[in-house]
Amino acid sequence: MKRFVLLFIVLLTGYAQAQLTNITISKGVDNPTRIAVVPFNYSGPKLAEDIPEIIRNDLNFSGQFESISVDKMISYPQSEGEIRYRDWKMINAEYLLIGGITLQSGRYIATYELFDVAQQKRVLIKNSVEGSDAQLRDMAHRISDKVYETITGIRGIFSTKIVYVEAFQKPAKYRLMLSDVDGARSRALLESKQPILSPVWSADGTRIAYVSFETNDPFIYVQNIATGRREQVTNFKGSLNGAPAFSPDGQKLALVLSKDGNPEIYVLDLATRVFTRVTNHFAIDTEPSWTADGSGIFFTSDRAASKAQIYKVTLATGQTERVTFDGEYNARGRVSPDGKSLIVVNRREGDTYHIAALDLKSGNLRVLTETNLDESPSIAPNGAMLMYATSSGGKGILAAVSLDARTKVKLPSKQGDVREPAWSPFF
Amino acid sequence: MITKAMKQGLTFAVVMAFLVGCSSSDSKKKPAPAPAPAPVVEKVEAPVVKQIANVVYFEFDKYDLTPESRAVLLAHAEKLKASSVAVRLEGHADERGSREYNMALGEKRAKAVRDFLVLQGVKAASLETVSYGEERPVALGHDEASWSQNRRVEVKY
Amino acid sequence: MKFEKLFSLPVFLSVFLHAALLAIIILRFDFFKKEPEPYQPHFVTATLVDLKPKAKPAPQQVKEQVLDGKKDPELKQVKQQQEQEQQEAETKVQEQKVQEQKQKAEAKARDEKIKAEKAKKEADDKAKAEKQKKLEEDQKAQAEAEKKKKQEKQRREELKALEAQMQKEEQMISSTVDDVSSKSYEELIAERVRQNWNRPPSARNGMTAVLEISMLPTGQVTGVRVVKSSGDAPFDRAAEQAVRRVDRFEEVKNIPTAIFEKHFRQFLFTFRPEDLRQ
Repeated sequence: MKRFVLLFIVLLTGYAQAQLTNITISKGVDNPTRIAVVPFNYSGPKLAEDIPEIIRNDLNFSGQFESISVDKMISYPQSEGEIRYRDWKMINAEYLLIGGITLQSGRYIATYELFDVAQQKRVLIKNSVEGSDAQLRDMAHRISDKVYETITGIRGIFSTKIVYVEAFQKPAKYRLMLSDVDGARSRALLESKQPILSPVWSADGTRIAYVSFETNDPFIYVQNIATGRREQVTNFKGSLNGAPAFSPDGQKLALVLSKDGNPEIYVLDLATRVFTRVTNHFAIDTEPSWTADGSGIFFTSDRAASKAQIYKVTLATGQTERVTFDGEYNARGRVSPDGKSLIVVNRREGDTYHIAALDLKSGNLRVLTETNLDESPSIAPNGAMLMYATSSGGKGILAAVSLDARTKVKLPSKQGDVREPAWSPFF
Repeated sequence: MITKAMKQGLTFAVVMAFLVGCSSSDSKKKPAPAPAPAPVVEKVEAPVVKQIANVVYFEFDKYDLTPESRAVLLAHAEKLKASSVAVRLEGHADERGSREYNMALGEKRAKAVRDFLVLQGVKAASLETVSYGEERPVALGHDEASWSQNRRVEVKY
Repeated sequence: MKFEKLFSLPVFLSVFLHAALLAIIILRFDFFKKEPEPYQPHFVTATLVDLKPKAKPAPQQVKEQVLDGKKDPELKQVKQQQEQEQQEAETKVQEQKVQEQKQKAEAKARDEKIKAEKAKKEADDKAKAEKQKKLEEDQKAQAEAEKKKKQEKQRREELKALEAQMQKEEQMISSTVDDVSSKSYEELIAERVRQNWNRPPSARNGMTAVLEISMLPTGQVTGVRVVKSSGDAPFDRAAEQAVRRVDRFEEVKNIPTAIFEKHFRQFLFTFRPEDLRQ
């Protein structure tokens, strides 16, 4: 009886609340989040790197944030007690990051705290990172990662790396480069007078595979990043040897060979060195990439009226199905980390080549880029953005776009033509 | 020491190399040693020799041979049937689209040329195919004028 | 049962109050269903006089029948008495009749007097009213003339201000309001929040967060509380921040008090994006 009475009371109060006016909104403005990274408290000999500046650039690079420049700041608090929230409200800052750096027996320690300006409250308790003199950039990236993740709920990618190809003309020269995701600390992994293409990372971030023409013919090589040691894993002369892709468990390499007459997908077991043929069709079959669980392979084929489209083969059964239907051309499919989207190079009738995201469940295709002649998309390990190659001012450059297409970034151009970016996994 | 004969032979070889690239119906005469005044031979023969193109071009996203290409390749076929020179057919594509797909396209083009030559009677063993995809363009512009020059197979002796 | 100990008194009180409320709601209905009061005219006294004479003759006839049946000598005296009584009664009746007529005439006269007085009063009143009216009309005419002058002046000023305002509005970047009277206050509030709602990258269509907002009549937000989470912390936080960033809804101070108290002192805000990806 008592329970019934309680329920009755609860229902009445619920009824009373439902009577409150309820306003619904379904659209927003989606401006980048404005964050103020205040110069860190530090007294000592000038540091080789400006940590707050690296953090500002990182957050800008993500496209989700807009870092407020130092000259717009009204005050420079170094502790919570020094914060005057109206100073930050006045310049429309949404978040405030303050910090300090100290040197202790040869190690640098950077502490940082994050505050929400609108709600005037602390968001992050005092955190710290430490490192040597050579690791100042890594420390800054770790802080950026933490800030990004705290505010967006998504893991930050500022400590990841990229591999890309840089090409020069007259004389023709090609370099396989490794750098931080912001382009800093770049070094060459391979230099050649002949083309290098299709670099890819293994899932554990220790190795890369790529195609090199250095012996006058294209062959596939696997190289250890840390040691630089590499080995040639294919040797089929007079055939295509291309488009390598590590399986998610790192044990196998999917690739393309035309040794049996026309381009087909094969899987190479890296331990046994046995090649297993996967496709069997007179059309072009190329650009294999694995599903997240390694049970299937997406690939590009022109078997449908000689128009490049993407197909998926289930390895256990050999069953193949077409995956793309929107557009005259769909190639170079790579699945997103959450398995929901396939990122492709797409061309619709009357339009040029763009990077697009295909929703694998609904089949809906969203074009993400506004630049022209886009190619070689590589997805960030947090699935929030992707990098790709395009041209600007007649030069090959890299650009990045968020997967919801809201933010677009162009990376600063290098000396040569830059192409074929490969985004590392999380380390 | 470089003897006169060696000098002559060297000049002859250079001229031959030049003629191989340019000659057509006079190919029969090539193995025969040229008369002593090699430069004179060059002067006399050059205006008569017809030049064959070493490149054939393709339509966008296609690897079938155009009539012009066939004409050029017929000439090469004749040349190759007579000699046992090894030839490398290098396939290329224009920059549009993904790189590896363009590698496959370049190879299809090179193989189309090879198959045609084989059909004309050229020995398959003397024909090597390789694709450079879009990696080695001859024209660097981002328009059809450049792209049409890059969609090609080069016949390299 | 512990349950009972905790809830017995409050439960009882609450149930009692609710029952009382219900009872009042039901019973109130009866209060309004009163019988209409009978109409009471002011000239009713004359009617009562007619009733009395009608009652008297009837009992006398009954008496005579009883006396005819008894002794003769007494009967003659009785009869004479009766005849005398009858005559007296008749004269009385006649007198009464005459009195009635008198009274009727008096009443009539009174009525007419009252009527006449009334008429006079009305006439007087009318005259007064007409005088008053004329006066008022004169005053009105004067006032209107003045008003008109004022209005024209005001109009000119208003036109100027309106032009300035229109120019200002055209320059305004925010697309908030073109015609305040046509949009509901809800829409105005929604628009202000919309302009400040930055959806985080984790946001997807269909996510829903419901916030409870507390506001003062000045439009100042005093409380923001998540009552239904979307399940995604950055999404909830972005919703809270959107409202806090507005901080004060300027349009709210124009809302009539009754409407404000009913709808806007405390209200809910639902954030449900429809323009993002799945």
